[in-house]
Amino acid sequence: MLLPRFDFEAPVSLAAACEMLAQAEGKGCVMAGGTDLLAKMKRGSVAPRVVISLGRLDSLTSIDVPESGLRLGSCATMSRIASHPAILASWQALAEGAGWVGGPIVRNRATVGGNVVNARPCADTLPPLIALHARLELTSRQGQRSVPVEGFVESAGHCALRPDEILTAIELPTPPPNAGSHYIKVTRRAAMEVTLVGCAASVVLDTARQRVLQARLVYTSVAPIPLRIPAAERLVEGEAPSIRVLEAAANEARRLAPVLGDHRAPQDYRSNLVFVTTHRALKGAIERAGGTVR
Amino acid sequence: MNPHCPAHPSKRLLSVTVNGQEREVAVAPHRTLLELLRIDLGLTGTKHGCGQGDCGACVVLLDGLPVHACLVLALETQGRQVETIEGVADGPALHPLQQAFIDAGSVQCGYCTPGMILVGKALLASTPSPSADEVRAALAGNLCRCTGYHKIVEGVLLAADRMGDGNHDGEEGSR
Repeated sequence: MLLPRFDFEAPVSLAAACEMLAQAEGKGCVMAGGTDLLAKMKRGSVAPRVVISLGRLDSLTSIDVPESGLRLGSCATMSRIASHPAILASWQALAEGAGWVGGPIVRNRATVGGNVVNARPCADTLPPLIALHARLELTSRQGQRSVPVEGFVESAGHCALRPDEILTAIELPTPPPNAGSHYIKVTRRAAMEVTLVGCAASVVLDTARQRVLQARLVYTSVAPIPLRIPAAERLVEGEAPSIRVLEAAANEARRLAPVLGDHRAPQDYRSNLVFVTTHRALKGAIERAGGTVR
Repeated sequence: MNPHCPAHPSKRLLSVTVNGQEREVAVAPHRTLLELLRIDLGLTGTKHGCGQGDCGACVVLLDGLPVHACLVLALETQGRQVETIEGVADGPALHPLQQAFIDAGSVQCGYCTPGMILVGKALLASTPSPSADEVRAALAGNLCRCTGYHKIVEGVLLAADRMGDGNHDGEEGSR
């Protein structure tokens, strides 16, 4: 498979990258790991005049854990996120989501920023990022803005990134005490597979770890964009974790999830996966928060 | 560079270290690392399979990490280290992974073998005594249509055993 012709820039400063992108007047594509962009260019579904590589901007690959939380450079690779000790300890669902993207070789190049801005309906890092209250730092020649990742994806393959903006960092707050998260993905094979249904759950328990104070349930491959089901979250909040409560939430999620069937899985199977993934993700998140499901 | 004439983007001079040797090549922006290796440098041990990052036949090590050469632009490797299957053996002496693949019957048609060996090499550099499950997880992005995978896993485990016994220094980057 051959690539079409294009021009190439590899700026060594973020300011230069923003300038080049603005100069390209909408005909430029920013490239991070390239695992998605180059495949799309080979298929002919994208044809940029100029590819602007972020590969020389070392600052965008950093993973920092300041007091306030976690700061991921947008070009941090999935491999590094999936194996980072602090992320495995405090933002577990994100490590799991990153560890499920593609296969191990893809994850050495694929970046979290690419997964967000590609905005695929099956993206594995978007549900954990939304469940963990992430915000996105968007940089352009005009300056920077910070927006919540929830609501950033507007439709399949489209997000609220302006043509002259670059996603430069993703920030997640430090979870409160007694918090936990879990991402469950169901696929037909264990690697190199598009998600049939993915569910990220995050919970915060009270100090006695007897009651759920907050819960978030976010799904991928259920709707064209990442989907939260607040009605199911409310069935868990305020409750002592029990099988009965988890099943009630999972049933409500299944009832409300607007699943569609396709060649990968029929509608009723996907509906059942919503139930199963909700149940498992919630149970895992509660147990990681130090709670017990009775 | 002529940004107004995308049909003829000019070639750039690329400096990259391939198998320990510094190479300078003029390449067009749309040249992939796979094309650079196979066409410009004549290193045809790296195979062209699917061309879209699904099969793992084109795997090379970029700064020690396995990547799909078909999904990396040649110009992205500026100043970096690339290792291909041609750089794995030490002259005529096979690398323990290569010998183990022969001894364990891990090679049938051979098309996936370069990628399998390089992924195995990166795995053993970070995890010198992997479990069979760890080998399977590392090889999850490499397709083989002949062997059924068992003998490939056995080959990597055999190499790990032999390298652990001191038959090889096992240092990443030793050539």
